[in-house]
Amino acid sequence: MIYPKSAWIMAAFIVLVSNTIQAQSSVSGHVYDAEKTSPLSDALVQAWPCGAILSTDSYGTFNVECATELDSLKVSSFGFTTVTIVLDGNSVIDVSLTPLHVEVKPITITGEIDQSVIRIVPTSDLMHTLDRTPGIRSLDLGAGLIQPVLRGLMGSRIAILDGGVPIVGGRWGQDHGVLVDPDLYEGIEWVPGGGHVWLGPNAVGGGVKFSSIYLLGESGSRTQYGTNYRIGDNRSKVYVLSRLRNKNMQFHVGFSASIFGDRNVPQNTFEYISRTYEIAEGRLPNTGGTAYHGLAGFIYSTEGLGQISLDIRWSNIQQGLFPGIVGIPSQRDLMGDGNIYSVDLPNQHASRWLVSSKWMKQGDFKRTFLFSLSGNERIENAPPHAHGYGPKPKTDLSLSLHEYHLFAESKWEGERGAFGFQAELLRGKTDGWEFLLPNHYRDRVSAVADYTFNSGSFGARMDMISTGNESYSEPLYAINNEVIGEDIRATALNNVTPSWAFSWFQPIDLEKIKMSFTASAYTRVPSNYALAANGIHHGTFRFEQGNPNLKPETAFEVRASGSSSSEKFNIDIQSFASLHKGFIHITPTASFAPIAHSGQIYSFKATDAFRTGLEVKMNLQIGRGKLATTSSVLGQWALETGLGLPFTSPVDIINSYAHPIADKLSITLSHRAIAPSYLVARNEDFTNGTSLFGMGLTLKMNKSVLRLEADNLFNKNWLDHISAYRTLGLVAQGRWVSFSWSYDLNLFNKN
Amino acid sequence: MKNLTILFATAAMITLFSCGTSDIDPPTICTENVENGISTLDEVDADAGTTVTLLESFCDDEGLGELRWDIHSAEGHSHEGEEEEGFVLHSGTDWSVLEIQDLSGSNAEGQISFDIPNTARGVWDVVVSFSDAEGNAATDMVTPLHVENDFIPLFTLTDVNGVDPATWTDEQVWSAGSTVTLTGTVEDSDGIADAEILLIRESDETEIWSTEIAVSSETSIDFSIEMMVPSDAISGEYHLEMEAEDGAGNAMHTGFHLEVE
Repeated sequence: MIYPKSAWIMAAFIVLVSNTIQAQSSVSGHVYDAEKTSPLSDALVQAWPCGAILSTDSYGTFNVECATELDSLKVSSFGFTTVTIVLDGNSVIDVSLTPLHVEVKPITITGEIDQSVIRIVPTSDLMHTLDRTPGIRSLDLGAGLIQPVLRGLMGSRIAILDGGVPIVGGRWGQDHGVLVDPDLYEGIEWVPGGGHVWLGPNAVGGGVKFSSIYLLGESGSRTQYGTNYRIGDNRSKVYVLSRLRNKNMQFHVGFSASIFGDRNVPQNTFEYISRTYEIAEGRLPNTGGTAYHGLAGFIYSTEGLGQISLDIRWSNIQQGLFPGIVGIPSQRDLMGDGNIYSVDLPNQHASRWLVSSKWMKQGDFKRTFLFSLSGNERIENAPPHAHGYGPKPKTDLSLSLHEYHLFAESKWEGERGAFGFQAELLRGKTDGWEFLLPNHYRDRVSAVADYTFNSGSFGARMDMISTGNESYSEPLYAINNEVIGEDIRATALNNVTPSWAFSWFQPIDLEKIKMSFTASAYTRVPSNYALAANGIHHGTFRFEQGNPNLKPETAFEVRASGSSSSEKFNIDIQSFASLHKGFIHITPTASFAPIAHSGQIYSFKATDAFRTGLEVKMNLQIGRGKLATTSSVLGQWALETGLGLPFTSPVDIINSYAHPIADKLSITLSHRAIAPSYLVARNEDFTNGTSLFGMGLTLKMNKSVLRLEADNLFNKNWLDHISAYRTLGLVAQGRWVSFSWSYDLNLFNKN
Repeated sequence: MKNLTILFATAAMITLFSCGTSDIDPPTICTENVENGISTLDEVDADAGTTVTLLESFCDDEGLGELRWDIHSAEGHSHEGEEEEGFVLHSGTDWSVLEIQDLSGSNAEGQISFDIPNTARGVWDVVVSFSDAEGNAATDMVTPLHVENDFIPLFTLTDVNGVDPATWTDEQVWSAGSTVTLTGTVEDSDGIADAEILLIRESDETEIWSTEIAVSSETSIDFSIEMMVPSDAISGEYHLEMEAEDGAGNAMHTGFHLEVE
């Protein structure tokens, strides 16, 4: 008898379940507000001596498990005193935290806990994780290559930090993601909105922070590993992350590898520059590939020296590009070759390496010095073709972007505030027969400070930014391929421009509602791409043209957040409104590109804009089950025209209901509704709304978690309005089912 | 504080609706304004070696922008709404025309004249793209241009392995080591001086099989050739190339794409 693949996977699932049920040392309980006696969600609970860290859920509940005997818990939450509870053998304990009052000195603001920072709860899939976080959407560019969209902005308008270091490789548009694997980090956080002084001048939409590896609480080891398989695009992944601490020294190492096949889509045809093509076998051909990520580092900590760490990270992705992305495909390119994992032309190779070092020392001022050097490489290979007249190129290298980036931050943190300096240098080199932008540079030095008064907090940053690029020209050909002139694509540019950011954060603590209010004003210097691009951008299917005369834009943003919780219900609301003077965005012009098959010219233009949005997260306990709702509403308008800004994500609402069906097994049913894209930019197509169903089974055991997740259960054909693929009328991925298993092994020395 | 946010948003929205323009209507083709009814809306038939003039009239409620004529070989793709052309042996597919013209006012005519080279035969797409001054782009208009040719030899395939190519719906897939029978004619009013059929591997443009058709200056030659696909042919993309030269020295290249497995 031949069993289907799904039967084998289910059998493996059951075997894993039976093998991982073991005895445990665990403590569960609740964390609550001592004054209001209401539960505290997102409080951090650290178990000792194993060092495991977790957070309470929306009902203040936690359940921590370690391999060794637990002796105490350290519990902290923003705005509350931090307490350490000795367990004395108790396996169930409730912890009360007393609110901090700003007039009480000293104010304890611990580590990176900040009310403006929202921790993201991971699932087995990063894109899935981001899409379920209100205010964030993501563009799927393959395993380990993602482009987060924060409050409708992406690329050079957001900050993505790797252990505090800005990642620069994803700033060129929707198809240029950042290379990162969340399984090799301690966690993910997101900081909504613009004007955060420590995030740098690019973080208009906000920032996503990937936390680097922490020092274990004591000597011992912690190893996390896991694997998953996704039916749909047949993606397989394995990863391992291990930390080994011996007294003052900790080494950590991690690795992940994944292979993914051609993306499954419930679609038979698509259109490109008025040409209609068929898609064979329900897959986008040549979109499979491989992704590898690695990490090695150490942390050395002594009382006298402080804590010194070094991390080396690298990522490497080889992926086919859908034939419609680079040049006009022929139908035969779209028929597939029978091997969903094969990578043919066109394809891309993206890689990143990062060496970062950090020194921290406690004292009257907590001193931090962070230094990093990184390289980002993106290579696109395509069948040689000439646009318009000219000889056919002799190589497959259509475009390469090499960016080398140096970042340094020196910071002094006191009880009420911090000050410091940041510096970064970027050198970009381009090559290939498909010119997009010239060699360029961008340097920044910044002075940053924040201070907490009795009533609120003030932050300021002053920058000096130097941007520029080389000139670029290529021969201009006649129809007979004779050179008849020079095609000047870029002129040399050197700008030195100041920029700044100021913010005021005002917490308001009402009886049952915690609120905060932030006002910020900031400027943003145009990106190198907005200044100097001039060519066909394959990933966006447009001829994109920079404008060297662009000036810095200015923004005024207000944010309000509120949260309230009771025994069975809690709600978090984040909102913002932002007025941008001279908002730089790409818009269609009346002109057509002077080369064939490249359509209309889209150029960068500065016009005033207004953006506003609302994000809501609610949880309601219903019996043993929990109903959770998240929703994002976003509006972005170019005030000159009254039209929407490009790629404004439509309203979406995700409802899920989780119910325990056994001691450690729970089922989750979810529904995601995405509204039609009523707000569109000029020439941007209207996108219909959609309704997607999903489900999941989660089995949490002693040290491991098994998940079965399904998305787009009914294999619905839907267009993602913000995806570049949408331009081609290509729908989002169809149904997928993912099996994942993760294991967290803690071994600590018994003294 | 929330009230302040709402107030701020409301003020901005008022600004938005009071300042913004709302020309989001793309321009249109207003053929009825063209004198003598000359239009590219219908199919265009033309002969190689002649000059063709296309004329169109464009309208916009605010002001026109640019017009682009993009004429390229239709080989290897189709356009939405375009009728299926069936099996066509194209020649001279490198020929293309790209011309951009400024349009102004709310009603303007665009005209293009071009010479069709003597080497072209088959179907070309005339893609007309146009925009208004605000950047609103109309949907491209695509019209087939059928090019006949009396200068270069004409290859006609009537039968491939017992099947009329005109009935093909999918790409041809031939097996390595198999025999393929090609039946057809090659003709030219100046007589055929030379004719050859080749199988080319596209990955490196290597010729892996070829044969010459016996000619003796006749104006029309029927042929039936058995082609052996080499048993060691690497799986991949190939091109069946048919080449001929007439008595006046006019050379012709045509063929079709196929896959060997």
